[in-house]
Amino acid sequence: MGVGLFATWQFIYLPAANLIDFVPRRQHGPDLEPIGDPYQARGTFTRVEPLQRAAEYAGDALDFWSEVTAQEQGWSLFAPGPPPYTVFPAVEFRFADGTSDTMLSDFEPADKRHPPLRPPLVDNRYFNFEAQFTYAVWYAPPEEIAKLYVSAEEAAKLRETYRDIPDTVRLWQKPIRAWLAWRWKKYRAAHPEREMPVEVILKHRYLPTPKPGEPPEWAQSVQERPYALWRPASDSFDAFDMVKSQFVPVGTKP
Amino acid sequence: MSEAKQVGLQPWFPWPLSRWRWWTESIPAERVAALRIVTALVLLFDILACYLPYFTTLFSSDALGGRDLYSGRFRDDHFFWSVLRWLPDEWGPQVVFSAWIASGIGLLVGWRPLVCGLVAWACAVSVWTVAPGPHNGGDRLRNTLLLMVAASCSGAVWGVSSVRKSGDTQAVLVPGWPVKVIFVQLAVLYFFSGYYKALSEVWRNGYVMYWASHDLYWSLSPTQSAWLPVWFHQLSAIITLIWELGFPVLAVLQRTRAATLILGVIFHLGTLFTLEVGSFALYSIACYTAFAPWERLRRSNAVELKSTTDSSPQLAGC
Repeated sequence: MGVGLFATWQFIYLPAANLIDFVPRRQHGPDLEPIGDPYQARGTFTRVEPLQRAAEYAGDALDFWSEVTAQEQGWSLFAPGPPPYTVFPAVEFRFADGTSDTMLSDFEPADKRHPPLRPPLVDNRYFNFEAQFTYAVWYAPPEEIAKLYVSAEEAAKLRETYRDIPDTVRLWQKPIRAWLAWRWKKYRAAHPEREMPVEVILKHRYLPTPKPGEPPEWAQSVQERPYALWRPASDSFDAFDMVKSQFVPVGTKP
Repeated sequence: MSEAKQVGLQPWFPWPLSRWRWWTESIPAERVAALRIVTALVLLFDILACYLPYFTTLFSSDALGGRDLYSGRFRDDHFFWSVLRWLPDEWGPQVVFSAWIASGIGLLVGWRPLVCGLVAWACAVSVWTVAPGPHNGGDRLRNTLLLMVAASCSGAVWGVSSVRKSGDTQAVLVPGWPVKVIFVQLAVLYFFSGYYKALSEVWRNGYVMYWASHDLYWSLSPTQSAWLPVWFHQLSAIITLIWELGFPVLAVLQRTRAATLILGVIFHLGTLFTLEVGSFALYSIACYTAFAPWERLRRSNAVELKSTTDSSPQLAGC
């Protein structure tokens, strides 16, 4: 009987855990960090409290099973879709003598006019780790990049999306710090003469994609924008505020 | 006419599931055996070729790993767990990966597939939960897949725990519900992805594939993709959208089933070689293994699979 109940629950759970995302639920506590549940509708769907509460209990049961068995649902597979530009993460080291150097992503091709083939699978685990630092800014390009594809008025609306980005640095602070420190180790191995930098900056490099019908070359210049700043000596962390165009201290959990 | 041997517990199901033949029917054991073998091969490839080259980087606390890097997931009011949270960073990952490889080999040869499947699932959960950074949606699918492989009596044939001895051509049947759960998982995965895509303008006008294949970070073959005409990218996007939304129906109807499943394998192979989707493509294709009629490989033409006569539950091979 236990096997039958397990099988029946799996049969119900899989569609139900996807459907529950459309049912507005009140949140019991703060979002899980750094990865929350972006698909779940928040709020209430009825004024009938027992009905609302029943839906929330059902949602809690589905969430419990999702977490215990690691079968989290909420599928979108490349929706809403990639933007019309490439976003590369990069690391800039600023040294005490006033010099700086930028270490590009291992996945950024040196020859952007004729980017080479990459093998599938073998580097994907590391790619996934690195790519997580681009998601927060994927749909929030610099206005100059956005203006290549939409009107100036539409591009100006991006400023609203910029406001939330500094808090994503707070959310991802631990993995970002680990990655920046690890990139410094790699840089140092190649440049043993360099002293510890005073500032290490995670920045994003935006490369416009040629529009359909244009020559298939990635000939436009890359635009860079900082995202997070780490000072190794004090182990302090700042986020780049795109509205103020300056670094601001990383906030605390709201 | 030979009699088919029934292996595995036929579970009790509540009404109306108990009356639904699609859900309760037994299936040839070769289907879940193939599922087990392909899943094990994909898992071992993933561990040996994808994880291990970056093992020190991704699972060392002085690099990009450590049990506290994503500690926010393990809050008291949530239920995520990982064996790696209980073991020290110095040797915990080595132990978990050793157990993972051993369980993968166990699945491959069909030795105690229930135990090996559960161990492989526990290792997969432990690695995925403690380090979400190197993972993607394919690893969530892997967790469901391993759980169902464990429950599927997949060692009944084609393994060291097989109930059918060498030279024997008797048909062996196992409960079919684990394969049906995998089907439901794929159906909701595609349908809800299709739903979210249908809301997106770049999916509806088809340009999404153009942008994706020209993204120098995500595309594995941007130069080659640029050789294709724009209409080809648009067409592939529209076909993907229709196929995903239609999968739950098209993969069930007799007339469209084979074409829908073949299109699914082509879709995953296409993304495997053109985009940074990683093992997602391989685990998805592994799921499809259970839908192919592997029993045709058996050298017998006198077996009527529906004539199940031995209904006593047997756990050998489970």
